[in-house]
Amino acid sequence: MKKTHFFVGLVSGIVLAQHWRFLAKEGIKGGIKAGRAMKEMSQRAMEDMEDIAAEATAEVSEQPPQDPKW
Amino acid sequence: MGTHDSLGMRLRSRIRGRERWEVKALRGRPGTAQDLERLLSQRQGVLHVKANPTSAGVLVTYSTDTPDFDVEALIREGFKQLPPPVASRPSGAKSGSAISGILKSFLPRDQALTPPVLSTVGHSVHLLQGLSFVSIVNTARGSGPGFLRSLGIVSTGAQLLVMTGWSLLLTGVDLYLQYHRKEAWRRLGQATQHDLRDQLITRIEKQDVEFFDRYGTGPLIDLVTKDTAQVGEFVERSGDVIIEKALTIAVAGFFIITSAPSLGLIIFLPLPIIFLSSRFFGGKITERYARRGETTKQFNQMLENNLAGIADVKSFTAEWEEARRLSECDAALAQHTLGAERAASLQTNFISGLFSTTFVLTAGYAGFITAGGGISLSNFLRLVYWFPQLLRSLTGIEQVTGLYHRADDSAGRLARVLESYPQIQSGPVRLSAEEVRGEVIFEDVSFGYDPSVKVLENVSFHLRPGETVGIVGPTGSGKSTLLRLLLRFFDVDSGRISLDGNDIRDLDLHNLRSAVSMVSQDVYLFQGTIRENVIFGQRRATEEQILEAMRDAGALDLITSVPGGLDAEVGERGRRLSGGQRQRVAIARALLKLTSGASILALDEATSHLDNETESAFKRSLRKAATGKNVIIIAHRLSTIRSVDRILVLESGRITEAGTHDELLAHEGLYASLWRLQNEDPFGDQLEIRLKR
Repeated sequence: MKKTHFFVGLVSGIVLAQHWRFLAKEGIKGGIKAGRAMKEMSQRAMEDMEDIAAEATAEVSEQPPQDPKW
Repeated sequence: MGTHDSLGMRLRSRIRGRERWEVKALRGRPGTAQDLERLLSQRQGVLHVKANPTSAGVLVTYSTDTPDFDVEALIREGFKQLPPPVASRPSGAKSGSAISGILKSFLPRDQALTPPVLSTVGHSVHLLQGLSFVSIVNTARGSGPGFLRSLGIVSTGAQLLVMTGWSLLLTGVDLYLQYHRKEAWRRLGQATQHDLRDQLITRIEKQDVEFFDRYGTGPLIDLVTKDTAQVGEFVERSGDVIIEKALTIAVAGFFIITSAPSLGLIIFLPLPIIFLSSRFFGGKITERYARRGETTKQFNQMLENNLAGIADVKSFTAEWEEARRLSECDAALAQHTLGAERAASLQTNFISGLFSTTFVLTAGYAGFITAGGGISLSNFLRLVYWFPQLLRSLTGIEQVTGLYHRADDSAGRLARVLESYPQIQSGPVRLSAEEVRGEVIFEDVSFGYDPSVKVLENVSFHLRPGETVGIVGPTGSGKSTLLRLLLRFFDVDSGRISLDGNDIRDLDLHNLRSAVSMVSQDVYLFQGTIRENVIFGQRRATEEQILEAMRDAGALDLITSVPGGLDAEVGERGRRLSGGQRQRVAIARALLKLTSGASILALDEATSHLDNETESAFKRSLRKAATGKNVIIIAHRLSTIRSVDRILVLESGRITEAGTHDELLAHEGLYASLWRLQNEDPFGDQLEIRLKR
């Protein structure tokens, strides 16, 4: 093992040991925010699909019946 | 598309009868979303509201019969009226579906354990029957259960005998438990329905008059009878079905997976799709059931009005027209019912189709692996028995979803009423009946049922203790509204009404209403006897007091003229009595309340159906009965109020004249014109002159 790798590992370990709570908390916060964003996005998408379906249904039912071709 | 403002509103989708708005102020506020849903759902014409605090979307579906329906204004107005956010939610308003909120609040905890236990045991016994059936077939093939051999029962005949006996025993136990578990679920359903109904009636009774004007009698009766029954039925039937399906799926699934694991995988493949489809269809089905509920409400209201006013329908020969209107509404109801059932069937068909496809695939695959020797004959027999059981359980889930959607729709309506709190709240100041002197002051009072249309404007007057005041004025001038405000059926828009120096909004509501004894314009007698109607609210009145009140009201002859006397039935709304008889019973009721401690007697056209002789007799009695009390008399017949201490003339919501009879005649205003019209000038020339001026 190279000495530089050892020291990088040691320093990282010390930093992690000192700030692990903060880092863990930030990580969880990020996860929660991402989860919320995903939830919002999926619910909006579902609502948009419902809206589009409702609008399409309304437009189809509003079109006058076409004359028969024969 | 859309507009921006402080609420962050933006139109996302609009078609006739349906709009979805983005309301940024709603994001992350689930309590506000629930309050908004509840509030907007109560508005006229609104069929369904869904406010999503995650996406900030507010979906409003409304009746297309309502012209110029403005959803944006509706949401804005709703936001203005929202209560401040609270930490705790009222019962039934918890997160989740409406039915879960209702069940959390009303399912009796002490009775809720027995039915599931009985169901679990009962259905387990039923499944054991299935197992023993498979065992009988295997025994016949010579591979009976090992425990019988270890017990020394080795011959096939003996083993078959034991297994048949065992199956018969299980059948007996199954039948016994079936009866008891159904009874237990029925009891639980009825107990839930009873608690819910009790609470609902209590909540309805406490509501403001405005609430009853808004809902109407028919929908409230439906709520108390049908919607509570729907929740009761859900409790009674769904719990047992859910346990049955769950146990069957678990046991059948276990045997199928252990018999042929790859087959089990195929069978359970459609489950995630079913779950997703339930989420997709669920909202639509609930929405359509809500639409059906709204139309049912309209139909019931229409029918109730029609039946209540049947005499007018006939006198105006409007039977055909009314039948046509009812038929049209019924057709709309049928259409909405079909729409709701169609959506529910679509989900059922989708699930059934999915299972049928799975069945075909599984059967084909099972045949393939059996032919290839992949499974033993015993396992194949197990599959033959358990596979249809599993399918039946999986496809039977729609029974529960149907019950659930109907109960959830009813629970939504129930929750809205259970969470409705009256706007008019009792004040902290208590005044016992003995303390009330009866001084009433109206100070600059303005009021309108619709805030934009004022019924009363800047009305001020002072009613001193022991004084008798008459109020006259044209129809719609606000006379009856004065009394409704005094009783706090509504609160004033501006100004103040005080009783003995206390703002009536600060007074205990029970004390205030106990202080006023009123006979209203539309006399209402309750179904029951004359006695029950007279002592209404004064159950402890003695026979002597009842007779005295009847005498003072000029109603003593009723006791001799009506068969049964005081104990004669008055019929629905007092229809067995004439208009004059009803009025006299109502007056007796009010006089009894007056002798029991009320200090103000309010008579709103209370003698309009009495002949002159009976009215004069009543006025004489009233002087004695109301000695030291305040009396407010509203009358169109001016002879009724001629001798009162002071007369107020109301015109278009304003007091235009005040004084004694003689003073007002001398004033030559509306009162003088009306007096001449009634007493001297039957053709009303003077009145016309007065109004033209």
